[in-house]
Amino acid sequence: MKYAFSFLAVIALILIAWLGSQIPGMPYLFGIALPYLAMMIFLGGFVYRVVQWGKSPVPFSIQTTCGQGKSLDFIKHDRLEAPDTTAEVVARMFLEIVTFRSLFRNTKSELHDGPKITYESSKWLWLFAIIFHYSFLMVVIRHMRLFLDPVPFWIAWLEFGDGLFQVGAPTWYMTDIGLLAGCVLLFSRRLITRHVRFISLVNDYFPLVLIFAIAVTGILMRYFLRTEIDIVNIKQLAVGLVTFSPVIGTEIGAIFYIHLFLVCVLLAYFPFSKLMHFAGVFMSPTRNMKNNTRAVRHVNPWNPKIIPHSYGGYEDEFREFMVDSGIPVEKELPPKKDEEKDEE
Amino acid sequence: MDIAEGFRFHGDKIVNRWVEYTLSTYTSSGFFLKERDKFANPVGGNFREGLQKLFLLLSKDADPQEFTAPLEQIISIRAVQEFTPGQAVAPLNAVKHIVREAFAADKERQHLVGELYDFEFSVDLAVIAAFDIYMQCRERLYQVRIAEIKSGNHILTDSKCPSSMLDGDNKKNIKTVNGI
Amino acid sequence: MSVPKLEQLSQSVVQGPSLAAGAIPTRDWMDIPVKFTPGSYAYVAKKDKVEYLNSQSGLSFPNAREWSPEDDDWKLPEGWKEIILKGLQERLGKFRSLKIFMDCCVRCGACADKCHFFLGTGDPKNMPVLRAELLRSVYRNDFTLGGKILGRMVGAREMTVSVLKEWFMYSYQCTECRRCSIFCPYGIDTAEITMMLRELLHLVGIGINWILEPVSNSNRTGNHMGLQPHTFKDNVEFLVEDVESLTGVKPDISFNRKGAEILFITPSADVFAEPGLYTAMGYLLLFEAIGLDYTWSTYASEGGNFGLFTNNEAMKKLNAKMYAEAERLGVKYIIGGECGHMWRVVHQYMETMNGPADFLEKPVSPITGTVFENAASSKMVHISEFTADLIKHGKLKFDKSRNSHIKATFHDSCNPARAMGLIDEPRYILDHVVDWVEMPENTIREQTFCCGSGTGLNTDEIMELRMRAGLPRANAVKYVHEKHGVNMLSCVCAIDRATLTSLNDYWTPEVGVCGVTELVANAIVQEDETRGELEEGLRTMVF
Repeated sequence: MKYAFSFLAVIALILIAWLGSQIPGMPYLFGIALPYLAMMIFLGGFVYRVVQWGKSPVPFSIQTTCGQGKSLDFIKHDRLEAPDTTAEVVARMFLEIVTFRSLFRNTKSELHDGPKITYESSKWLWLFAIIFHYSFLMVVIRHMRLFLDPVPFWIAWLEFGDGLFQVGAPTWYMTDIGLLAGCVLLFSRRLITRHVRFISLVNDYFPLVLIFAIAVTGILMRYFLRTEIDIVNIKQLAVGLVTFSPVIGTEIGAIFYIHLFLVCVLLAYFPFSKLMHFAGVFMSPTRNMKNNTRAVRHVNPWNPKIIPHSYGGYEDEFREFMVDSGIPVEKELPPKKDEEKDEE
Repeated sequence: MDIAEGFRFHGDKIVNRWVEYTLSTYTSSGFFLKERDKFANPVGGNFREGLQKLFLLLSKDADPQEFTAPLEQIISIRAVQEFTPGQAVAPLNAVKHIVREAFAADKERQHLVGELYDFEFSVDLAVIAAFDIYMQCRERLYQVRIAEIKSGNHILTDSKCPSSMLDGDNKKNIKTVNGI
Repeated sequence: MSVPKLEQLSQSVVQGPSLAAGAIPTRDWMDIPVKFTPGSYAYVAKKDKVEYLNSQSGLSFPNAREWSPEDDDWKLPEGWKEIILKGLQERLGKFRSLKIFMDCCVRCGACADKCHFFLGTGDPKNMPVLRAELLRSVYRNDFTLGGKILGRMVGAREMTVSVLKEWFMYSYQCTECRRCSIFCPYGIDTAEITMMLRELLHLVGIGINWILEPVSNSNRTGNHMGLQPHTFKDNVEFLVEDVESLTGVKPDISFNRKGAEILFITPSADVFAEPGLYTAMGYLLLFEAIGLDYTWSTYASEGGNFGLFTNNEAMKKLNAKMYAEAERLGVKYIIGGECGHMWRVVHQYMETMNGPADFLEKPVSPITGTVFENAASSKMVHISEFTADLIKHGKLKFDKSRNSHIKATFHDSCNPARAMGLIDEPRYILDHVVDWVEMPENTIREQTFCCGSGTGLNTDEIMELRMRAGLPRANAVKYVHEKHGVNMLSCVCAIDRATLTSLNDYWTPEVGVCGVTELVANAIVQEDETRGELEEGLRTMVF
């Protein structure tokens, strides 16, 4: 049901864009107003969320150590897994963010009783995630060619690399396939793996379907419906958008508006969803803190003033016993006391 | 086509079904079934190993004494998992039906269904042994409880009860603590 | 023909929707209410303990009362819902970790099969991600725009009594071991979630006795056990006598001695309960062998800190005694004994809460002259670090054959491994004193499995639950027992020493449990000793 709803929602969005953009005058809404609005929500929301997170302090140093900490000279320190300096933290975070190291850690011992299935199954999630995220990143970077005039040389290099296999005409980009495959794989995993299906919410299916639809419309435009769209006009609009002087030329094509509208939805949805993990991963205290808490004091800004049950109070209660058994005391016993300790 | 050959031929399939059947009594049977690593999935791993060994023993008419080790592997887990005693041992019986089904569905080996008396008798012995083991496990569990109390760790929670086990001096102090 | 029979059999197996073992949930998890039956929960805190704690300055433990989780009515205070939501809001403002962990989870499921509670029980609500969703669903409902508008569709739900009960059930089926956290791509730490859940529950008077009684004991008498000063001293002196009768050397000890160089603090269970007391005998022997100038304290006679399992205020209040006592006695620095959660507090919280410790000196080993730079600020050194350094400098003389009755393995305790990175020091020590082997790869070091009874869940009314939760650990122990003839599970944690003993007694009765320092002391050769053949080391019975 949850995944079906995601499909319905995306289909509804597609219909809105398709029908909407046919109405005269509406291209200005879909081509100019909504993209600006979506970008504003995205940037504003993104910054708002990060600031909100930043507003809450990190009262305690709660790093998780995944290896030997720095201690004695002859004990080998695992610099990446239990970082002691800022540089080591940066290296840890870099690998975490760039290679999804924690997911890769998902290894299993090779000691098996059954002859079948070995430990590769535990790397699937890592693999799917890598395919999905890197394809997405490349697709976004390649789109920069639409907004930049002249197109920087490095984008052309990336495009060349991406289309290295020279399949089809125009050349298919690996990352287009990768993005589609990533969506399908992650989506199927949610459906098929029982415990993941049990925990999945609409919020988990919807972005995948949305991104899938964006990729499909994009691919349709590039490979199949090239004649339906006017790439010159699109570039003109894109450059116009970034230079704050947007113009919509003649007919651009409904498929373009669908694509753009879905992207707008994704942008606007981003700051209010789990997609914020993109920013959160940088700020996770268990990963971005140094494991040097005994060497350098971490300060809690709201450290409450709480004093222990005092030694004085403790000695007052037990002085007699302490004196009797020869434990040193601060204050000797008074000459004589009549009160007996109450039992029970 | 003797019965030993029949067991060898269908062995893997029977054990698989048996494991599946046993694990289907758990909430997360999907996970327990799929993950074969004994250390990543102790419940599923131990059941698979235990049932595999047990099936070999049952199918070759082994000495019931030998049932103990694999049964212990399975029953010790089920004894702490909110099953009634009957529920805990019931899946063992299932292998009778699974074997019959497997043979009945195989045209060449249909006749073996009539020769299962010894096998089924072995299963019955295993079920009886499993009851014994279940009880041993439960008794062990209560021993563990008692040992914990005797070792003094129990004093952490309820000072009144274990205080009676301590010598006079300590007894007094602990009572004082209680009287806060 | 036989198919219906098989079905009939399975009906005798599966009866009623028991989440721990039984029905397969086809319904959404939000629709499955929790049910409390004997054995599924730890006893709730006694009224007088809660009242006592509530009366202490800086602490708040309201709504003391007699109640039972099995009752429908939990006697919650007036306006409990507002209290919880306000409490959550306040904590979102105080802990960045909470906010980020509420917002970032993508429910990838990488954590699911990493939790020993899930592995042992199969209960899907014990998947770390779902444990967090129990709280996250309420967070969404009241603190996010999407949740406010779309409600349940986006996984939001209202705070109800039934939700509260669920929180109680599952925040006390988590040992804050952090194993899931190392596999999470965003480092989401379920320990943080569980801590918050428990803090929130305490706001409305929901807590368990096994935790709150030790907390109140520790506050008043200085240790969880509730041992008063003279009893504590008596107990240590018993151990001194035992050491003397075993080795002929009488360790010199002192209590609350001003001017000692070092204050030694260890979990009180070590001086009181088996098998921890052998570890305590080990400390005595070790310190005597090197002639350390140290003192015990009766006021700060607890290394452990069950406050960690309640709320940060109680943790701070109990922990504050360590520095207060070190300052009063005028020692140079503190050495801490073997304990897991104690070291989480000491390593990650102590100086933040109760520092700066500028009245102490940077720790220097008086025997080897080594400066413990890694403890330069907090001035507290782990006994394993201290011992490893002694061994490195050849300051201890060992006869490894004195441990020849032992084939050991080493259990990494959750907190030293994942919250401190103390992994190789104990191994270095073991290499020198005993013949030992590792357990399988994915059950040790940072991937170690919890004993299943940490965070104050080591109480006997939930013994079955503990056995289930400890199964992943026990399973690995059993493996090395069968394969390598291991007969001793060594560790550096007092809770482990108690709980793994029970765990092994059930799963592998042939394997005992000991502290690393016990093995060290077994092997130590001292100058004036008159030691006979001790067939079982410090555990040998001498009459």
